[in-house]
Amino acid sequence: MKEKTLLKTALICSVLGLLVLYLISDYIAIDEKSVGKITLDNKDEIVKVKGIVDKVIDTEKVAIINIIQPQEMTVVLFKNENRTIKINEGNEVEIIGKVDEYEGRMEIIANRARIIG
Amino acid sequence: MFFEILIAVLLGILAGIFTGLIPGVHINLVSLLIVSISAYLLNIFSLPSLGVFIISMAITHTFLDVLPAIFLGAPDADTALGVLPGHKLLLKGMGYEAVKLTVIGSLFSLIIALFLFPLFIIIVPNVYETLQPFIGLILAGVVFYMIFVEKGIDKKFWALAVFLMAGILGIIDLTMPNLKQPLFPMLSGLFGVSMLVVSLSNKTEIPKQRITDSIKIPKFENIRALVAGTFSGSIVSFFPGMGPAQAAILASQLAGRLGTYTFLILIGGINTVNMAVSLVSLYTINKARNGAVLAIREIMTAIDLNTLILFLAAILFAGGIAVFLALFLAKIFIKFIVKVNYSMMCISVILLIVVMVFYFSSWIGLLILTVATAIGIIPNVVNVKRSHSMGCLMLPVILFFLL
Repeated sequence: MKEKTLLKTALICSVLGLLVLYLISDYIAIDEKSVGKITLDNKDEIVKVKGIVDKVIDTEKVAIINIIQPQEMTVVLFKNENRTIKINEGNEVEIIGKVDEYEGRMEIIANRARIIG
Repeated sequence: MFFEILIAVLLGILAGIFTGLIPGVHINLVSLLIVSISAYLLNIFSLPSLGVFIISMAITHTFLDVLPAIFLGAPDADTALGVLPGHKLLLKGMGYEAVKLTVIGSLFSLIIALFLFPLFIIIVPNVYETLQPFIGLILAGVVFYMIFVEKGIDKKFWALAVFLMAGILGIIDLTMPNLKQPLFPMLSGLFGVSMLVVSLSNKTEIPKQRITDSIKIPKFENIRALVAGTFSGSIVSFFPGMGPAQAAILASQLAGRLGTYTFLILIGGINTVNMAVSLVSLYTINKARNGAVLAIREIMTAIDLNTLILFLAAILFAGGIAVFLALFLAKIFIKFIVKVNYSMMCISVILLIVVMVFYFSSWIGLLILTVATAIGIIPNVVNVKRSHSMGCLMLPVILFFLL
């Protein structure tokens, strides 16, 4: 195999990869969603929501947080020793996570939670 | 978003150069670091960007980790079996070709694997369910065959002895509490330091290295190595406890007798494909099969189809760039390597490995390195295949599945 062939193939791969990166990156951005608009149709979607923490149930492995927007939404935050974050009532938080349904109610399984105010 | 992703890929490639070229600095180390500081990084980067960073680093690493393995004899688990054929070519003045062969394997197997991705997505959940109960038996069969094909009862005995000694060392090493970087001293001893010690005792000298424009590999041989590499690299990425090392053993038995050239193509292919295809396991069955993908799962919990496509695009981009990097860096290595006294270089590399092992794994690491080096010298003395030393990873995995 000639080195030119190898380098040409590598170049084509890079350009193709770059093109797909450009095209797909618009579909990756997670738009902020209003809690009231999250329905069963959004199940398994990754969403971003912001709200004020109304109630926190803190256990060893999981924190269950109620946020109000003013509509209410339950957020389940699994704790990870590498990513402990202390959320208190009254904090304004931004949550990114997967929409799920539990006992007929919508909830968000958080991938990421951060205090913004 | 595009520029953020692009920056993440470029930073990932930079990190991949760092982890690929420095022996002992594994992508798992950087991936874990990213997970541990992800809460802070997420204030600057989005979740997909962190994932893209990790996957770009991992793919670049698989193209570049052959450089220290071939030129310095300091491999990681993914390149251990490539040390001997790579070094053999280096001693014939063909170090650059050795790197180029692994790069050919990496790039073309990656392209084949990307074409097969839709198929993988469909079959992985079924293959996983069907094959998992038999993996231990399949691997045990492969090992039995490897030992059986050694010629003569003496060689069969030594092959079994090397496999068992390396295997027992592997079990001790991998189950030892509080041992950081357990693979580094063991693999450096079995495949790196042992080879350097043998080279030192043979008073080897590195000849002038040549740079050729083309390498002649029979088409059928090339295709055989690429297909075997893609197949075995993919299949092991679906199962826990298995990686490129097991895939290399599996592939070299599946593909039959391979020459030095085709074996290096195979090693390169397995290494890269294994990393890329492990994303299928994450997407389809939400299982992480290596440190980099585990870090992505820790950060992102799960990935959807768009994110998978994003990762594959990052892999394609980073893989293409890594080809240029690997060949460019190989040229620097060969310029440097002929200027140094080979015996001095072997001693310096052995000392470097000793210092790094002590830094990562303390006195116990040095003990493992010494024992592993002693075991690693045996195949050379009794003239059996060095791959039997892979018992250090094969035996623990076989026992994991069978017991």
